Amino acid sequence: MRHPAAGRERRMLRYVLLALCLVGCALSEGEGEERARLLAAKRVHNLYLVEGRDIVVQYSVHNVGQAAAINVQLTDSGFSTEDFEVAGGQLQVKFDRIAPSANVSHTVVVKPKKFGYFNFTAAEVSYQPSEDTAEIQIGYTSEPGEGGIIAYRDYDRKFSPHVFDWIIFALLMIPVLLVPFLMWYNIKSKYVIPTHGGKKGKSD
Amino acid sequence: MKLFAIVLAALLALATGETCTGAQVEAVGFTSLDATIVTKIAYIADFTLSCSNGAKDISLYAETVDGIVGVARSVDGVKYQVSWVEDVATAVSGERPIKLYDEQGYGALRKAQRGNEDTASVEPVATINLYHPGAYKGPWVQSETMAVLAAIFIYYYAYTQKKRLMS
Repeated sequence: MRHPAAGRERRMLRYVLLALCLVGCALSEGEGEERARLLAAKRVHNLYLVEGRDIVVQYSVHNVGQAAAINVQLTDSGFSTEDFEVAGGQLQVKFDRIAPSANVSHTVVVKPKKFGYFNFTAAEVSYQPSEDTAEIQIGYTSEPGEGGIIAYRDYDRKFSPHVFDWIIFALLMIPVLLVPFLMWYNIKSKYVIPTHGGKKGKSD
Repeated sequence: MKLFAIVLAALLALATGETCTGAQVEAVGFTSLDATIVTKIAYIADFTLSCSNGAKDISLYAETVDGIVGVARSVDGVKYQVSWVEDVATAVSGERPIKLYDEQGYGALRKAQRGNEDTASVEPVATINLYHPGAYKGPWVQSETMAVLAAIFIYYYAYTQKKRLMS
């Protein structure tokens, strides 16, 4: 025999299940859209960081989402104009469209004006994740970290060929070597060194 | 009838996007010249594009060693930049042609690639030549080596002369 309140309980259960279904639908609505997702890396391709010499910085942006990223703007404000001079490339660029599973790369060459420790900070990437929405997504590239920029005279002392220094050295050594050599040569030319026997001839 | 043709042409123009005719390119190139402190050589070409039909804000695609890539633009859309990096060991000096394509050219290129046809049949909008004079990889002979060789030579000469004297 059924309990009289069981019918009410079953109705409650049905309402709860319906409510759960609706909530679930509402929550999963966002996953059905296709969105672009950009991963960006910033790399410094240098063996040594030397004051006044090139630093090659490469930014690569990959789209790992399902939709194309629109109006991708890459801005690097880490190289201030008082500390760095841009030798080639632009620090603020935009790409109109990055297709899904595509990547782009951008390279900038800067020259540091000062030496010391420098923290290479991340650059900022802003894009529209899909063509439908107008919201802007902001992300950051990877950070290369801290690097030491060597002063030019320390680098030069260690690595330059020092040809000028060697020439000076040679010029200094020449009198030291030449004077005994000339003395010996003068004496030698007066005597003929015998090849057979022991005869020494004097040619005055 | 004429109105229909005009409307159709306008719609066609809208559908295919802006094209650039008579493109003029002014380019400034930069390549890394010192290979002793960098691990990769950077090739950068900054250029501006002016079209005889006055078209502006054109997205370009360039053919580089990485394949066909989109060209970066400054935020105001006037200056473009094509750039890539190459390993120091594999970088060759000389002229590097960069072919530029607009949206239509890019579409035609992709179609040609998919159909395995010759991609050279698609006409580029413009071509830039980037000249790389070759990067300095260090002196051919180290000056220390030369100094050591000279010292050995002088010593050898003195030693042989002394030997001849003593014998």
